[in-house]
Amino acid sequence: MFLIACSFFLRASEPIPAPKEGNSVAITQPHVTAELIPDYNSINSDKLDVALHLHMDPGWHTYWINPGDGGLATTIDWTLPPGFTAGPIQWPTPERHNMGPLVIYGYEGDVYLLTTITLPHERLRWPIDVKIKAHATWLACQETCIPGKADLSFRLEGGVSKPARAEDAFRAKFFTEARARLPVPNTRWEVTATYGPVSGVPDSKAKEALWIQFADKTIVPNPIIPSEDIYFFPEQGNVLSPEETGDFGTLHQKVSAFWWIIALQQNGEKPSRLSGVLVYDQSIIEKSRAVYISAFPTDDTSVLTSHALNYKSEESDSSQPPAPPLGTAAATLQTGTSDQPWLIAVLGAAFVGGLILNLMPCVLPVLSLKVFSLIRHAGENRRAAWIQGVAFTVGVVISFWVLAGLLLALRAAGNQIGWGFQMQSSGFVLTLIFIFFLLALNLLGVFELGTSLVGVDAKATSKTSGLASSFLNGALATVAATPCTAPFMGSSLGFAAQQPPFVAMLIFTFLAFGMATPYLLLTIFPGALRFVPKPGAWMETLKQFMGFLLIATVIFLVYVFGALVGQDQIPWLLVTLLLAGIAAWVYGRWGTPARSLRVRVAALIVTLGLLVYALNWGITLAQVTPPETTIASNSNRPGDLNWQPWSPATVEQALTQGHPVFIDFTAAWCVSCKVNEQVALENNAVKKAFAEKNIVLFRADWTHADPEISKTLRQFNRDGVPLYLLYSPKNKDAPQVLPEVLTPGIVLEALQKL
Amino acid sequence: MGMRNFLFLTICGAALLGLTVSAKNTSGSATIGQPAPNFTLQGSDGKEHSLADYKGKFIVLEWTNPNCPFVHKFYDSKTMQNLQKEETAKGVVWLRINSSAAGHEGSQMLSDLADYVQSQHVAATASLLDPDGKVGHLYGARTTPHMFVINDKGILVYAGGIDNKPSEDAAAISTAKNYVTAALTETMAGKPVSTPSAPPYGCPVKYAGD
Repeated sequence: MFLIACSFFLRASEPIPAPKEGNSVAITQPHVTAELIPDYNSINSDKLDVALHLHMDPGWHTYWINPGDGGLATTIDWTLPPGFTAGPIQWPTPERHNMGPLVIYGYEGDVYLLTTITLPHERLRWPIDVKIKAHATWLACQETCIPGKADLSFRLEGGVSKPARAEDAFRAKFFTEARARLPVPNTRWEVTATYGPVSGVPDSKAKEALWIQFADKTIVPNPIIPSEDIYFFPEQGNVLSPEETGDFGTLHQKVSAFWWIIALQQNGEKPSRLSGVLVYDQSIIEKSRAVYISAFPTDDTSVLTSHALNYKSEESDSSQPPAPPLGTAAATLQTGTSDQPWLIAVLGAAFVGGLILNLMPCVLPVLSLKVFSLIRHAGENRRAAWIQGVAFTVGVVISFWVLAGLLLALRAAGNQIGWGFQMQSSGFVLTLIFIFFLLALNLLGVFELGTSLVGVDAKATSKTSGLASSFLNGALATVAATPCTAPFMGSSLGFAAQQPPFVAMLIFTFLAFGMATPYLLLTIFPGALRFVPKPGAWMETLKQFMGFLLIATVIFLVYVFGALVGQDQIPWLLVTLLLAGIAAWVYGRWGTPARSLRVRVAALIVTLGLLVYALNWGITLAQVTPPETTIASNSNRPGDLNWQPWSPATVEQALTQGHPVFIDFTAAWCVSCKVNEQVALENNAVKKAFAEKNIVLFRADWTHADPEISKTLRQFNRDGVPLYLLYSPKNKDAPQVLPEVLTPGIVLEALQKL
Repeated sequence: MGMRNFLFLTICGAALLGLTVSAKNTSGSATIGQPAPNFTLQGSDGKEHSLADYKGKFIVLEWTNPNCPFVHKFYDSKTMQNLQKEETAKGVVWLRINSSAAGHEGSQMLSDLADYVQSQHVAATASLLDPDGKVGHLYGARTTPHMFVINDKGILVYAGGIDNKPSEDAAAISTAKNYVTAALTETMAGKPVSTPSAPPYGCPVKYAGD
């Protein structure tokens, strides 16, 4: 449509009559005719617009400010009377032309390069009669290239104002049309750019790409843009690698934004400021289809988190803009007033995620502690129970805040560590092992913690220490819950991690509330407590049973510890636990108030001595350098599927060889991962399907913080494991992302879609 | 079952086809700071020249096209020949490469190339033909001239334009900073190259259209 309008305009205006007032003469060079056209209608002001008109023979083109893969921009050198100044060339929106595999930016047919000349109006004595001279150079290419140049001039004469004539009206129209071809200033798009890894760019020669995101500030949701209708012309040369196919990198779209991943030019530059013209088949602002934009690309890859590539349905090839599912809200969200509904959706998701956290295996033992404590308080008055609920909630919320603060601080420090990082620290795991082990012994009755800390005897418990216990329970539940990335957590956290601190904190707060809500509800509405059994002798039984649950948790943590520092260390760790156990037993046997003070003091000294010795030994174990073996390599038993250690290069290689690829992002401490592996990935039907379809299996082991894996997780908007990706060699850029809870059916179905 | 296998094979076949088509664009690449990829091309002397033949030497690669006005700018003024003379005298290997595809502007036969070398007094180590553009694509050569400097350890240390005055006017040469001389001087002194890349300018390389 635009082109039709242009060609109509060109036909109507050809030939451009030479202005009578001036004496501009067109100069004809091989294949190009050049001419200067002043806009006398603008002389009333201090500024005079002059157009350099280049008329090219059919098939020949001249170049834009960035000529693309070759060529040379047209230049104009002005020779002006004293006091006159010339501005830069105002480049009309360029066209792109293919020259074999190369792409150049320029103009065919006719081009009008506008320059604004500023007159020293106050210093001029009217009437004036001056000569404006311009030396223009250009390169005209078809198959061959011919440089051209012309010395052009016109006389500027006359008074301040002239009566309007027919020709002036024509010229006014001419300049209006010429100006309409200029890109308009950007008011619609919020542009962010980052130099990042190449992901899904067809030209894999490039090692780096520019990720450039255009967020629509005006409409949410904006229509899906067909990728062939949109293009970005960078002004800086030698930066981006245009594609001959017209696909300028990869276009990804979200409801409120779209972005490109454009391969960087081989051995090109990485300027700190990038500017250019965004062209769209439909009007971008008012009637203009081209907009001038600029951005300051950074190397901060953390902003790439917002570029989720895993929602294929939303990409440009889909014909219908789909309703955004809840999970994708995180990815599309922009901080801005227009996006408030999305924020609410994300906070809602965070809340539900928090609720679900209560059911995760890591939290279950602590949950049982909570329930137990709740039952204990059922005997007290309603208000006391309610206060316990609030204390627990505060404990959860503050722990989440601390974790969020830590996460944000680490992120600010540029650390590549993601959610669940606690479990990647052997010292942290060791601490948990000791706490859970001692708590288990306590529940099993090896020792009583007296009346002041846990307060088994409800009547003797003072209110404050009871509150402190609830608070600590809340904190403990939080700490234990973090490695279990529940299905709703992934996108919320991925979103939180890239948000301004306030929004991130808000999300963490909602997660916390979600987690504390069941407990809080039970305490606020004690009516529900009627369904809770009355205290009695069964409580002792339940308490002991919970002790075994905690022992189970300890066994899991010992396994994690082994994965972190090596299985050889586990016997020694068990010895330290034995010492800690003896310490607890000594305390329980001789440290009770029933004993004489001397005995109690001696018991306490022995207990503390043993505990400190055990802990100190444990710490030295935790500092052992982990061996090189990973769970990927040591989980291969004969007859098993061949899981290879993951690396982007090997994945790329397998895909290039035409194999589909399945990647299991896992960690030794991730229970959901272990469950998925046992239930779904080790399932015989799934194993058979993997083998039949020749799928190359990769395991990315995140047990130890691996920055490369963290980066990949974030590309898929995740901050933790598990993550399951199924790549088809024919569509390397858009892997299927499997859910965080796998069943054999889900995997088989995904394999069918290959 | 049979149908499923058939579909799978079809998809695999299609994928493989797609890969072979795209392989041309993905096979290796020359990157600054990385070893320069090897190639073998026919020279005007009728011999085959391999980058590997010149192991341990400083090497200049010059993309050229006899009909390009930007190449004329440097050859008509004898600038390029003088540069070739100076540098080869210091032991530098200077390879000229013409990637113009057959039937496109600047395309030469070996005999044309030999004539050109003689008539223009070309002082390069060798002038090579790359009619299928493979080496041009390997190095990402986009313009004529487009210059590359490789150090004695085989590492690509410069890629880009010949100088900082993108103009077809020979008068600009005298005031321009020549990036190739600068890169050679620095790398031969064992120093890192201060300008390892600059925008190349000139005529687009006349590769075969796809």
